[in-house]
Amino acid sequence: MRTTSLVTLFALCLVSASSAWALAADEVEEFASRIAALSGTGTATFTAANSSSASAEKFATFRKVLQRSLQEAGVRLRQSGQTSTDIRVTLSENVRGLVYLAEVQQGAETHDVIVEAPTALTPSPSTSAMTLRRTLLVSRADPVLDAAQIRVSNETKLVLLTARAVVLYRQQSGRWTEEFSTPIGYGKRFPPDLRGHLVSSGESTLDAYLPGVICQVNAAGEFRAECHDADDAWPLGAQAAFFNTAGNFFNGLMRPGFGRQLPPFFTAAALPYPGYTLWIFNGVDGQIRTHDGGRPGTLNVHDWGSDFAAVRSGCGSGSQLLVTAMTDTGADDSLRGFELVEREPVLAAPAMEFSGAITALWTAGDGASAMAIVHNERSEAYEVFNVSIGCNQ
Amino acid sequence: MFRSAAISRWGAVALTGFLLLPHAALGRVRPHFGGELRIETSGAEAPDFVKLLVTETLTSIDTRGEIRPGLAVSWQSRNGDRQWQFRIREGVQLHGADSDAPFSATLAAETIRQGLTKAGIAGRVHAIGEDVIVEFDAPLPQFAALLADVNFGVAASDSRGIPMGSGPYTIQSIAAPRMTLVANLDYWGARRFPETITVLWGRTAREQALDLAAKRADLVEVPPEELHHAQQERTRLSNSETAEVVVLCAERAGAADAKLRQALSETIDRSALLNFIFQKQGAIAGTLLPNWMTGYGALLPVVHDTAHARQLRGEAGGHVAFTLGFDGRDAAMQLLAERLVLNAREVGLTLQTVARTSDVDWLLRRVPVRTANPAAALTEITHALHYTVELKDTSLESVLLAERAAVADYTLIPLLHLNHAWSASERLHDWSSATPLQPLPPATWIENKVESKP
Repeated sequence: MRTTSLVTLFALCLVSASSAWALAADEVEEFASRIAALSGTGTATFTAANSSSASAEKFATFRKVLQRSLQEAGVRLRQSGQTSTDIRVTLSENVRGLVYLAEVQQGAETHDVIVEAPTALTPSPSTSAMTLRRTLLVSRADPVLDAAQIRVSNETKLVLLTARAVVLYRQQSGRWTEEFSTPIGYGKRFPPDLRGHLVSSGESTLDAYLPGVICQVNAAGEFRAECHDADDAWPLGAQAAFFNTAGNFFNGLMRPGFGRQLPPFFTAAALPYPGYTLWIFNGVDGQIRTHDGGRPGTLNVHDWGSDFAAVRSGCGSGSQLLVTAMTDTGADDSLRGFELVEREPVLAAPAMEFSGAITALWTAGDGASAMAIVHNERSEAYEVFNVSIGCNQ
Repeated sequence: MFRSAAISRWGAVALTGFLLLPHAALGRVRPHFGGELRIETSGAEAPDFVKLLVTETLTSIDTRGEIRPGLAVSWQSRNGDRQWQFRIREGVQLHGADSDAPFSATLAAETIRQGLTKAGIAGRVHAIGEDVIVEFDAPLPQFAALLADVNFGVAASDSRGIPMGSGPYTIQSIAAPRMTLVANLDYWGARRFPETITVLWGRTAREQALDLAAKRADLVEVPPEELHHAQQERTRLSNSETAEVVVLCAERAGAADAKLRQALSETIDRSALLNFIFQKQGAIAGTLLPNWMTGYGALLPVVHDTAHARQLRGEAGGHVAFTLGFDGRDAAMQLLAERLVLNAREVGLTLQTVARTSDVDWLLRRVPVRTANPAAALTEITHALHYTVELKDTSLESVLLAERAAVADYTLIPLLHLNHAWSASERLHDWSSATPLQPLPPATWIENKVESKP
């Protein structure tokens, strides 16, 4: 009977919030059951060695859980003494992850048990490379802060947020054509490098977030935007973050948050993994920080721009980060796709070049693409692209 | 875009602490297409990773050893891994738009037929519609992994006999020892950054190092013998990992009985070989496959037990002398052979070194590790050593079982796993994930500007 279940899982999860360990319970259980099938029930000496890079703490937990599983399977373990069965376990690793090795010796006969506990799938850039796809939606002269597609009376429409207005587009003959524009109607003086974000609030309605201002946008019936002073947190998926009303960044205070206030950041993105969500923050100090709800961490990257957005592609591990390049304002920009493998960024999609700086990048409402706003200095236009990730295989 | 924190003067006070922190590498050059990448190698022909940029295979192996689709989008095996069916990818074009030999299941089948011959595997290959069917008399569970080998690269030939593959680069010219590739703009997959790649092979390690230093090369090999020196010189190196296994092979009639072979194996001080000849650039080996690939090295530990070796030697009796061959062009193997003579003498075995690779009792072999897939790697390595493995399936346990069988009678004695690396010029960017098996990651790009010293 498989009884390790919750106790095992809980013990492994306690040691580390890393997905590899949190998911290894099944493999430990399989390992124990296969050892027990060879040793049979009865008394056995048990020794365990660590030849992996797992810490002493992780190894101790692995041994403890394995011993418990073996005992639950009817194997009575001893550290030494005369027994007919000798179980020698080694915690090892290879390029795919942890490897559990056991030699089960009974008399002159020795049998091996190997169970691999691979870490998250590693995308191989050489073979599983993904490709970025983009569609130019519209181009206009005034700065665009965000774009969103909404359904209005069974028709998909495009809403743009600019510094002065909210603009509604409808598709005609394959082109987006401006239909209505409603001024934000607000005399507030915004800070430089203005940022804004559109978030769906219901059928045919959106909330437009600007520094210190929120506008309720209604695309059903008469297109209108009602704005008011508000310091509400900007929704960013399952979290909401407070924006610095005098700046171009979030101040680090979040709801529901992660216990402690985070350092200020430009961008946040969430990548879903089995059992947890990994949040990634692009700090104003240049640090890329992560938080999985339990532990903070950092990513060792030095060539990311200030903006990124999570996109659910269905390729590789399912979701990737679209990341801008580290270029100065005014220079041509690019987007690259990254996967996080064991919390290390791995390039999954090579750079897609843009003729101008990407001034805004937000995950689209459906989560499957992103809206990138490019300031093309040659055409003196702000171009709105929808960017997604395609699987090459 | 790299954003600077912008803030009104009121907010600035509160943020001063953060703004004072350094912004790493502000204004760094972004990846871009173009440029010429110059590669030099020591081999007798262009390296596999370059060939695979031109001719692609039906499957490929990633850096974790897992099988990925290549020119085949899917596959399945039947009849206990005796029959394999591959569905080929649509929309693939061979280089040269006027090719009268388009990519097809027929061409893939012919390639597989030739590859099987080279690999010494008997099989029947058919093309049916968009599928390639391969049948074997015995199970071959590792076949999908083996198909990733460069010998199975699908290509037709143009009128000059130059291969026309389907990869991200086409061959512009070949005049041994030099080959020039240009980017294939019609490539079905993700395009690579460099516009052209030139490969110069047959270069000694010293010539390569000098060319790299003189900025005449961008990517050169660093063999294990040079790795320590390169590290001391602070050369820009890729990740180093085992890419070669050194094996002592019983060539002639099993080189005496099993006890003598075991005695020879147990008297060899592998640590000394590694430390003194290769400056610790690798690991001592009790297995053919490196531990980074399998993780099961602990189950086949190295035994260095001179007392037990003497006992075995005594049990075998008689006076026995063997010839020990090595490649006379390989100075490291000569040093290694000479040390083996000393080790063997300790237990009363006589070895006589000879600088030849045939007509010897024992032979020192350096065998490259060309794939990260354990089942494929074991098949390829043992094939190079004239030994055939049989795998029940492709699990690690089956690979271990097969490897145990291969080394059990000491006719193949693994000695060392040697690390290799590549060294790159500063012109190469996004190169940090390079490994000996993948020295040119897909994201790598190159600065166009070339500064060549006279």
